[in-house]
Amino acid sequence: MVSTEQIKSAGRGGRREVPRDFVFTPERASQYLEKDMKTIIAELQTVKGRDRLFEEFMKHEDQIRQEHPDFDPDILREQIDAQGEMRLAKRGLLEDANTPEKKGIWKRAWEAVKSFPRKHPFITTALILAAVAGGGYLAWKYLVNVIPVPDVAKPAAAVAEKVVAPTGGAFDAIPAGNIVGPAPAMPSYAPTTPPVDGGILGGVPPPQPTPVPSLKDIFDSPLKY
Amino acid sequence: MDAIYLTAGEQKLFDALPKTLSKGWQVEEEDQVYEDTKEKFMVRISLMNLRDPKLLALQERVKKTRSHEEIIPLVDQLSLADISESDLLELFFAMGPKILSVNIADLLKRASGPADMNAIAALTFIRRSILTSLLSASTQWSARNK
Repeated sequence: MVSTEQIKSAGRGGRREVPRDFVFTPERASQYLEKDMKTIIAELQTVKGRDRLFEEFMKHEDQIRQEHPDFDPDILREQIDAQGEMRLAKRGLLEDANTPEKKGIWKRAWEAVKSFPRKHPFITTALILAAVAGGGYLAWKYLVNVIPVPDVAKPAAAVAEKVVAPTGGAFDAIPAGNIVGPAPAMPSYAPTTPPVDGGILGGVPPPQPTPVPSLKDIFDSPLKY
Repeated sequence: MDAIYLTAGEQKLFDALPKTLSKGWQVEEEDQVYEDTKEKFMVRISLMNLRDPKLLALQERVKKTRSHEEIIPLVDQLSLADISESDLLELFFAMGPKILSVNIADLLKRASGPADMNAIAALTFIRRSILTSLLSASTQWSARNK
């Protein structure tokens, strides 16, 4: 059986640990259900197989709840289904990128992407994702705090300052929306009207900080993609 | 690469660009709509299969950090130019269309030269490919579940 999983977190107050969300992965299923990975992957490919996986997991609900108090069976079911769908999508993308007629255009796309400046915040976002994925699957609560979707006008150092938790880094203690940016706003495509300054001096309003959407803001937004 | 795949909203940003930047691009509408969720995003991260030694070394260094504020200085030592294309594909698939869209919109607001336009066109092509694969999988998945 799997042992309690923890996220290491440390702030100025020292090291502490917080429980992870429960996230379904084939590895975890293999550990909990004592089945080999091939069987789990095969079960993910069929409706019956996924039903079986879900039912078998639910037999361990009490134990899961001890380690993950926020465990939600509906989310588990969604994650099991998402595993099947995302595996299929990834296979399709890899096949597409490797077809002889598409190789050239993909190569040119990567050349353009690689020309981004080293510290461009978009690059920082991508690399943070790669860096933290090394811990296996990750908890959403962790990711929303670690991965900013940065204001591309600012250098990475400025993003780093925003990522630092004001209370010392305890992930569970900070509302996610407060960490990476002040405004939970998605980019608006609607035409905007410049602010009117009615002040007696008629001066220009001070520049407003560009909203920095957090990962949570992005996935909570009604924008479909 | 002379095509740029933009949503209706992004086309407004594109139209507002100086003609020196927008001239010569063949704008095609990105009308694929996919409902991405955090659960799917988390699954994509779990499916990421990175093999580039530089990224694996970065992951090892990140595992030894004591807090998330230590991560960005490590990340800043790398650039995407150092990363293999197969790993870039893994990374962008994990990111998914929502994060790409936020960045495309921001880049359109700040584009200042031909290199920026090339990068935007590249990101819109990558997003289009990812959307196509996600929608195709979603359709196949629904069909199998019937």
